[in-house]
Amino acid sequence: MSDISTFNPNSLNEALTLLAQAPEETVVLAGGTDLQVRLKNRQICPTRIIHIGFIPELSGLQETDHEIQIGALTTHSELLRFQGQGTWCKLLASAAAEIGSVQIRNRGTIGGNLINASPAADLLPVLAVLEARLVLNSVNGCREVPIDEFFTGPGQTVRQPDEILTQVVLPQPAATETGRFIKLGQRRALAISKTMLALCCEIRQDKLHNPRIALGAVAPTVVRCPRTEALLTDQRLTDELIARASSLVQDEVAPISDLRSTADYRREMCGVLLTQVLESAGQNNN
Amino acid sequence: MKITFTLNGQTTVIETSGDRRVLDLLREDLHLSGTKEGCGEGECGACTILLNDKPVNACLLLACQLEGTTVATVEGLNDPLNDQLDPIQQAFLAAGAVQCGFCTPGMVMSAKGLLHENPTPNREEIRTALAGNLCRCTGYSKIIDAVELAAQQTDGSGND
Repeated sequence: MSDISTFNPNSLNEALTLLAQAPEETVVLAGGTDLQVRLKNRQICPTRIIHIGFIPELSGLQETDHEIQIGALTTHSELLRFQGQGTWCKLLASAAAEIGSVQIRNRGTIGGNLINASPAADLLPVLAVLEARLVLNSVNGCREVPIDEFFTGPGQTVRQPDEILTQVVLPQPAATETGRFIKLGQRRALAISKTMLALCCEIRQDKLHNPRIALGAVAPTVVRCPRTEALLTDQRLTDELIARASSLVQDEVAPISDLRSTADYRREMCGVLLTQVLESAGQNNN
Repeated sequence: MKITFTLNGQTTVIETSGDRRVLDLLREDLHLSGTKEGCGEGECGACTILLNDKPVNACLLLACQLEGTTVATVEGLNDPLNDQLDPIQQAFLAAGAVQCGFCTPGMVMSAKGLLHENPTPNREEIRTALAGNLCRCTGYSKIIDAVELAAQQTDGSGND
């Protein structure tokens, strides 16, 4: 039999207690679409696996007047099925639709996508422009981390070994908010992204208000583009402004060349994708 | 770890390591070798089974994740009482959608999952549903024809 001890806790408290016993030797298993690949390839060699997939507190979606609370175990397929009105719903669905395949989406979770923290994780640009906050629990309590403080490098987050990500919290959007997400990949499915862009903003009297732009797969972590956002804030979208923004955004990323793409191509695509989403956002406010 | 789940309609109890891959559990411990291993990384779909009616990759599932679930493999498709093939299997034969056959169990299970949720898919929806199943032989078009045929023949009611 195996050298690894496996646990199936039925409650969050049980899981946190188990985790606290030996946090450095334990992995937390949700859907397993990323973790099992790493286990199989022996990239990680834990002695304990805590499977949290059956814990009810980690599922589900709640909306209040101010927030949307998404359980960390929500699968990508479930994100696709959310029938909601807000931009957040459509943006999350459009990113989730680009992940893997039906089989992967039926098991992969929003929490797993965050914790695995691939530079090319598909949900992250959307969660970044939606200004998500991430709830981490341990036996010692609970804390919320804004997404722009969550990632410290490729595959690395501020999660401590004794913590479990339990919830993703989004602020309720403004009524006039709109958003777009585009992923570039080698294929229409089962493709790790070459470049991705998410935009969220309000359109007030033909001007872009509070634009948020995030790019994925073009830096060690997902990145916001503060200089480009500042350039676009409260401006009317003209062809000239879009061209300037598309040029500036290329300075706010740090892509590498790898087996999927070159740095130059990725950098150029940041400008191309921004042009596309800005033209689209300018045309209709959905 | 003792694990109780429903497999092809039967309550099944097994004793195994919690981290045993479900693909290995099915093929080696339960002798159900219809589910195939192509890549072992969730990238090819040859290992597709249904977990609570949804297509998933058995190579990415661990035994501990099966507790209390319902699993369907390709062996469970045909009716054991009269040995009649499932309409999807019949459609694959009629459409000529099988060459070497290695991808076929996974394709059929993905199709089963699709038609359970969407009994009248259009061709684009079929392509999306099968996007996680690779085939090196057929070029896919007869496979998509087969799923279309199966959908027509069951007309959404699961009956011929």
